[in-house]
Formats: sequence, structure tokens, C-alpha cells
Amino acid sequence: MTILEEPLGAGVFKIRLAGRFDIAGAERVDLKLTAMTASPRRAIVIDLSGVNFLASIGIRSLLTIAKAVQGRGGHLVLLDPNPLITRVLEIAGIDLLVPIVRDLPTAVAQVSAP
Amino acid sequence: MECLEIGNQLDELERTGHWVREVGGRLGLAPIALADLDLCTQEAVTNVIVHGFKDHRDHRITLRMARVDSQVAFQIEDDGIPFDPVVATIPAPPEGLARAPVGGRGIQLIRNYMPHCQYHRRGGKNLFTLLTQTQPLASRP
Repeated sequence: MTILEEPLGAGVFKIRLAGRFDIAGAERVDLKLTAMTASPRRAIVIDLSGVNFLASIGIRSLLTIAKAVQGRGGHLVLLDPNPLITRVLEIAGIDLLVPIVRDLPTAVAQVSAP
Repeated sequence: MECLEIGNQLDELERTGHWVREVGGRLGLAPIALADLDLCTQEAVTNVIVHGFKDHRDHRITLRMARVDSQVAFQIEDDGIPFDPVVATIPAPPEGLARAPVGGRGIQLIRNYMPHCQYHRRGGKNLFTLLTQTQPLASRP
């Protein structure tokens, strides 16, 4: 599991996760993911297009940071998970809690909203 | 039938995943079915390791896989505390992100992906069996 941060300007940050988001993967990225989504950042795009496996531990990590960002008045969206990962998110009900968007311009617009 | 014995440590999950994908492929699981089984076995084995033992001792967990007609059966046998994932309560959908619990979705995933899962308690052991079709229903003749 890898993690890569990309500032997009105007306070928006894209964080790309790739690989297997299982217990081992979560352990590998948790500290950096927490740091990259920490206050005062309020506009976060989590790019899931490179994630090929998502277990409930990965869902836990995503929800934890989404709740933290929302708690300080910010926005976080999930960008372009593949069909298998989308299905996991839908079955777990995460799509009802955190927006899933399919392209970067839409993601940036959503997290930049006041 | 193929078997793998693991310990009740989380670092056994990687070995479990490799074994499930290798054996599942050999038993004829289509890629999507294999991905579904990979996810559910990781969730089920994680539950056993994390929640199944309260004595802080080493325990052995036996995993079995077999092809049964057009299905592949995966079974976990452990001597942990009795627990039936088939009837365990699944939390109601939360009312918004702020109220949503961050955890507890493993069993929900298993029961959605593998609705024909079965549980038995026998001889002081939990036996939890997942059943999956080798091919997605739409693609079968």
C-alpha cells in the first residue's frame, strides 16, 4: 500500500492511495494519512483509483479521517474507486456518508464548496 | 480438500490471503468471485484473531478450501469463544457521518457477499463456512 500527497492549490489536497487496503496496508499508511489530512486542512480528495482491495480496516481509516475533516467544517470526497471497491463502499453504506466522485474537477469543486 | 493452519496473530493474514488466492484460482474461481472470497476470508479470519480469544495464548486456526460442484467452500475452524456470524447483529445504518461508527463492518460485508454462509459449533470449535459460485451467475450457461 502506497500513499502520495499532491497539493492542488487553493487549499485543496489530493491524497492518492494505491494497493491493498488491508490491515498491513492500513498500518503502512495510517500515520502519513493522518498527518496529511490533519488540521488545518479542510479540502481533501482521497484518490482511490489505485486501490485494488478494501477491507473493513481500510473503511475504518477512511471514515476516521472523513469524520475529522467534517468535524472542523471541511469536506472530503473519495475519487474514482474501481467497480470492485465501489461495491465494497456501497455494501458498507459508505457512499451514503462520504461522496464518491468520478473525476478530479468535480472532486475539487465539491471539497472547495463553502 | 486443501488445508492451511495459522496462528492467532494478525501477521498471519498476509499468508492467508496468498493461500486463498492461489488455491481459489486453482479451484476455478472467476476473478470477481475470487476477489469476493479474498475480502470475506480476510474479514472472517480477522474477526477470529481479534475477537475470538480472551486468554492471550497462542491458538491454531484451521482453514480449509474445497471445490463442491460449481461452488468453492471455505471453512474456518477455531477453538475460540462461541460466535455465530450468521446471526450476529448488524448495526442499523447511521444517520450521517458524524454519528457513524468507524468500525464493525466486517460481518456486514461477509453476509452481503456470501449470503449462504453457515455456522456450526461442534466439539468446542467454531466452524464457519463460506460458499461461493466459481462463476458469476450471469456468465454461467
